[in-house]
Formats: sequence, structure tokens, C-alpha cells
Amino acid sequence: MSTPRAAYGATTAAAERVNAGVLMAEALRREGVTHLFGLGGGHINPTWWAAPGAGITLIDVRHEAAAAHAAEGWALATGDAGACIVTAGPGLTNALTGLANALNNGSPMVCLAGSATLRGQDTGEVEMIDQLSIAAPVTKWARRVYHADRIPEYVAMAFKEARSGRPGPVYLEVPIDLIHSDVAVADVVYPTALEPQRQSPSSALVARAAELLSNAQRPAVVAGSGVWWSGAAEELRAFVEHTGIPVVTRQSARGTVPDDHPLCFGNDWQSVVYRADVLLVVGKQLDYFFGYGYFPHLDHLLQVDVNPVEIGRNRVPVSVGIVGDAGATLSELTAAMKPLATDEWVASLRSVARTTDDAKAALAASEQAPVHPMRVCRELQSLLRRDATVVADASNMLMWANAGIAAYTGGCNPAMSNLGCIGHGVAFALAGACARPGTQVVWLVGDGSFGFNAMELDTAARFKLPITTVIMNNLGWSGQWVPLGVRHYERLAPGFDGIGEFVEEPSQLRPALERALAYEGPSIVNVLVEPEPEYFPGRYLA
Amino acid sequence: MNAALLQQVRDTLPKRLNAGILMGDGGFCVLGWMLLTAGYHPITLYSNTVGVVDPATGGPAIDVVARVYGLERSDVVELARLNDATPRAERRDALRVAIDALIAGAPA
Repeated sequence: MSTPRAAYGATTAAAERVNAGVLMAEALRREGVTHLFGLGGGHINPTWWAAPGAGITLIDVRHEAAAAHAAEGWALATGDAGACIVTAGPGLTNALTGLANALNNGSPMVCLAGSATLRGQDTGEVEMIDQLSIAAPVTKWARRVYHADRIPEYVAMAFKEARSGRPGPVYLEVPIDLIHSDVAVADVVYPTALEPQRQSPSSALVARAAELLSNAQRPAVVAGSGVWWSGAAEELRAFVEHTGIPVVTRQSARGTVPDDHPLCFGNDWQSVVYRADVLLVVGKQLDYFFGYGYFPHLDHLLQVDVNPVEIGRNRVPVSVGIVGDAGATLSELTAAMKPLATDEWVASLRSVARTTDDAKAALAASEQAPVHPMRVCRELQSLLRRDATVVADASNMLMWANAGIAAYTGGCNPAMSNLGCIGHGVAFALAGACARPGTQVVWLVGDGSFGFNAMELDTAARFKLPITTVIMNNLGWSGQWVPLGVRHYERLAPGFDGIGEFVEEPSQLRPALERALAYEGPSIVNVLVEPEPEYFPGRYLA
Repeated sequence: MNAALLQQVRDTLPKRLNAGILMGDGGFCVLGWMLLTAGYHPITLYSNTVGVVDPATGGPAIDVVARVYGLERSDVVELARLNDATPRAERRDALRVAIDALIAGAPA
């Protein structure tokens, strides 16, 4: 029997007309989309049904928030735009937090949505709401398609907007009456694809920055997400190795220079920045996670960003502000500079780092029960390969992960944003597992945040994605001290074809993690951790 | 020296003080509490181990505390050292004694 679904798999028999959903799927394929995260609905069925025919794997999640977060997670894992599709009305409103997070993070992604019919506007039609106005504040570009033959054009625009300048989320909706229509093949034009291009910096400003760095006593580099979106890991590494300037990697730049590189000081910006005299900031916003860039002790702050608005944000005085692509600018800086005598400066920073490492090691060796959070991080780290993806969710637990989990590969530590989302990490993990098959993927999360999107472990099970969930369970919302009590979250795992482990004592931790990481499916390790752990004694004094 | 503010810190020190972080899992260290008492918002302190995140008055925690309280930097270093070197159960009492000494004009 013929099904509606079968009708959307191809053009009509005469091949003279094509369904809009097929157009959409083909346009996505041409933009390099291989995975589409989404949740089905009547308003998007034609695209949903046509996507597999275009070679696109549909990852259908259990809530649209996860679809949007996963699209961002794909971008964070791969460096290129992710894509999601949600249905009209609540489908889109459920996805808004994911869009807002991506906007805050500057992560490129495209959110496709269905919407009510064009003809039925203001009639009380089902799932009708002003989606464009809702999406606009949480995206950098939001549009509706009014003519089905222009779908490829709008999809191409959407991806260009998402990928250009400071990247970000974009929104494109197609009303249900359009996506169910078909158009003459002869009317369809696929726009010319753009070759990847990098915005070159001013040579004069590069020369000035090179001069200031060369004359510094204690130069340092802070690399932010712009390095990742530029694909500039090699350029960053070449720059620090050529000049000898120490580097700190932040947010999506984590791992672009591995943490165990002799010139890398992980993500500990405070220890490096407050000791430097000239600081080069590349692709990093002067935001909360970076002291708002307010470092009055510096002789010079040099800033590189693809977006001119970021230069000198928060009225921070910038000696040289270079508008340009991170990779292009780093290449020119490398060419403009000679190796510097930084051995003594780097050794002093390494001495500080050793003091911190010693404090961390002491905490990680703790035999206390409940388990110290640093012990969880370090035991986990010792079992991971260098290409493992570790998604640290948010809030207090993130603090420990930042201190205890190293980054060795770009895209392996998907970053949280200033927005303060929690519970979204499982969607990042889903995307990471799709983007990096065969690698270890860990979702490190607190017990409070776990509750937000835990049902996505079902998605992991259905797509056979071996995500290891490690819950740092301190029995409540520690920021507000609202107790949640002892809950056996690990017992959810068997319901999702997985295994669960409950850890109360330090001695149970490593075997439990080993079993979970070895399991070829979702696993949950529920670790009771100390609710009021000591941090790193001596940090201020190092 | 802002003795009144120091007195307020002394009288309100939390029973459980953390070591090494201004504010976060496990509460405040003495520097974090001093900064909160001086009017810094928790958001400027959260999850920071060395510096105060504030667009106008931030910086290394020891320097900010010294400036806000009118203390010698070395005295603030000693308070931090005492905080971190003292077992948790005895931390608050030890710091109260040290703050009393500062107020009285003696070295911490």
C-alpha cells in the first residue's frame, strides 16, 4: 500500500515537480548536513521524510530543547554549523533555550521549524503563534519562507549567516502549506556555494602588536572560541611554539593546544593573566568568564576578534585592536615575530601551576566518603583516551571539571555559555557521540541538572550511542541548598538498555567507571560526593 | 583601615569556611566573605579562585581586599594563609582572633 511517506521520497514520476520537503533536504545536504537533530511533527513531515533520502541521519530526541542543544553540540564538536528541526508552536518554544545558549556562546547552528499556514494567519489555527518574533531575540537572523521554490536560497542564506562573522544560531521557518506543496523543478536554483574564507587583519596593526609582544617581559596569550570557529588550532600552536609565549585556552578553544603542551596552562586564566604584563586575547569575549577584560595591571592588552564590536567591550582600554580571523591573524603574527626569551617567565608560571597541581592531587587522593569531587574528576581522567569527549554540564560541578579534567583535542570539551544553562550537557554528548563515533563520550553532571534532560538517555539507547553519564550527586541544589535527597538515578539505566552503578565509597569509584566506560551503550555512574568540599588551599598565595 | 567593616566580618563569619575559593561549592573563604561584606555581589565572586570578577573594581582577590579594607597586602596574605592552613573545624575561630588583632593594630 502506498503511504504518504513514500510520496515524499523523490520528485514526481515525471520529475518535473519536486516536493518542498525534498528541496529542503537537498539544500541541507549541499550545506554539508549529515545529522539533523529534531523531534517530528505534522508541520515538518515532508522534510523529515525526505532527509534520509538525502543521506541525512535524523536523530530524533525526546524534547525540542535537546534538539537545539544538540545542534549547538554538533558545532562545538566539529567546528561547523549544526542543524535541528522542530515543529510549530511548542516545538519552537521548547527549543528557545538551546537557541539562546548558542547565541550567547556564538555557536553556529541552523534551526528549521514548521509553522502555521500562511493563509490561516489569525484564524485560531492549531500551533499558531508569532514564531518569528519569538525567535528573533535569541538568534542572529530569523526568516520565514514565503515561496517554496526559494527554500534552497533561504537555506544557503541561513548557513552563511550562521557561519559568518561572530557565528551564531539562525532560525528559518517554513509554513505547513508551503512545505507540503511542490514546485516546478525548472524554477529551483541552488545558490553558488561559498569557499571558506578568512578575514585578513591590518598588516600595520599586526606589526604594532608584534612589537608590543616582543618588548614584553611577561607576554601571554588567551585563546577563546574564535580560535575554534576559525579552525586555527594549528596556527595557535605554531604561534606559541615559535614565540615561546605561554597560552591559556578558554571555552571552545579548549584542547586546540593540548593541556600538557609545555607552553599551555590549561584554562587557568587567572593565574596567568594576573601575572602577565602584555596580554594577547584571541577570539575571546571580554565577559564574565574572563573578568570582563578588566586587567588594570597590564601594560598592554592586545585583542583580536572577527567582530569589531568585541574590541574593547566593557570600555576596556585596548592598545591594539585587530579585526580579523583568528587563524589569519595568528599566522601573520607568527611571521612578524622572532622567538622570545620566555624561559624564565614560563618557568615561573609552571612553578605556580605545580603548586596548584599538588593541591589538586592531594584532594584527588582523598579517601573521604562521600567522595571528593576532585577524586571523581581525576579517576575519570585517568581512564579516558586523549580524544575522549567530556561534556561538563554546569554550575558547581563545572567548577570541578574545569579544574580536574584536561583537554587534549579541539572540540573535546564542549563549552557552556554565560547564559547559565544546566542539564543541556546530555544533548552535547549526543552530538559528540554522533560526530566522533568510536570515541569515549562522557556527560559529567550534577544531580540537580541531571533531571532536566535525562530522558535523552533514551535517545542514546535508540541510536546506540555509548554515552557514559557520571553524576556528581551532592544530594541537592548546592547553590541554593535545596535538598533532593538520595536518589538512585543509576536505576534508570537498565530501562535504557544500559548499566547503572552506585558509588558511595572511593574504592568503588574506579571499578564502576571502568565497567561504565567499557559498556557499549548508555551507562550511569551515580557517585555520592561531598556536599561541602574543600577547594585548593594556597591558591591565592601561589 | 576600615575597622567597622572588619568588625562586621569578624562578627558574621560563616561557621564553615572553604579554602581556596572565593565562593562556590563548600561556601566562602575568608577573602570571599570579606568581599561580600564589603558589598561585592556573589556573582563577582562565584567560582573564582584568585581574582574578583568585576568590570570596574575587580582584580586579584588579595589586592582587592587590601584596597577595600585599607589593609597592608601582607596582612591580607596572612589572613588567606591562615584560612587555608587551619583545619576547617578551627578555621572560623582562628580567623576571628586574627581579625581582632588587625583591628587592634597588631599584625595578623
